[in-house]
Amino acid sequence: MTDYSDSELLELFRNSDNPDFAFNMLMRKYQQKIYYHIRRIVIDHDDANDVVQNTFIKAWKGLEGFREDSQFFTWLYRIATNESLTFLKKKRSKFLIPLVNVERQLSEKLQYDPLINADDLLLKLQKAILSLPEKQRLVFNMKYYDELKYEDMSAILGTSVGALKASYHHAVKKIEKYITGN
Amino acid sequence: MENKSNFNNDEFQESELLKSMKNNNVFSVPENYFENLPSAVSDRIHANQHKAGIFSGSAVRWVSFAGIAVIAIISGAIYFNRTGNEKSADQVVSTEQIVNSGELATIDESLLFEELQSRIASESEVAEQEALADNEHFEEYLIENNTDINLIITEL
Repeated sequence: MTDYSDSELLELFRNSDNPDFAFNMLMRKYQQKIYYHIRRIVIDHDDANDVVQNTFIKAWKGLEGFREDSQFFTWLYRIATNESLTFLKKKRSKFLIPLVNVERQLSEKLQYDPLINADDLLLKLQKAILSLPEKQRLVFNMKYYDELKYEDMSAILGTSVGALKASYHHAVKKIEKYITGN
Repeated sequence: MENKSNFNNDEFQESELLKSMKNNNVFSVPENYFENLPSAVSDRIHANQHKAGIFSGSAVRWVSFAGIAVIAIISGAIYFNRTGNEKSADQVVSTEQIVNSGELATIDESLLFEELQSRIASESEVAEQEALADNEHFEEYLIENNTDINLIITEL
């Protein structure tokens, strides 16, 4: 498969007779990163599958108007993050369960989900992440797993770089404390 | 202060424990999931486009216009058919009214003439027959009373 840059694929999407091809290439390029970003937020595979599909469908609809003021992948991450948080919000309102119970429900799911392969320590890490406030959890995942730059995270979350650094620092400290029990 | 300097330091590092767990992905996916995901998304996009094509604003407008046009045509056909029947019924009535009111402008004059002639003819026949009947009656009277006809002629 030829490696196209995002700009080339966007150009191809806008100006070719076959935008499907360009969009397909963009999907293949980012699907794994976007999927795991979503999966870490919603935990369950079926939920992540729904959210990732909705994310790409919304990206398709919005791509015509995407003006490249931001990078394509930060734009896509923003859609994915928003879709994931909206999904959890709907889940909470649907079952009338308070925030803490959704996180507890997701935490319990970690133990029994056949699509989660973790030893005790990794399971503890995931539970520690789920115990964080929502924004801190997002920041931790994006920095720790996706290794995004603070500038990109700032564009995705609409938060200053300084606030993100502080948030990540607090998140790491909480997680280490949770795991070591200190 | 130490924490504050750490917040603004990109070199801030996690503990060795956290670093050691970094590359372990606990989340797995069904087999061939990522091979099939793009086509699943494309299918949904095209299904939505098809739906949008059917139910798009312009399509809905055209269907609405077509529906209104069909209703208008059917209503018009029913209306004109009904008023047409009513009109011919009215025309029958009005023709009768015209005839009854003596407005004969629309009636064929030759028919009137024939009708008039036949009426005149029948009236004159009646008059003749009556006259004949009177003559016969008169002659019978004279015979019955032995009246001299020559005397009457002389007197006349």
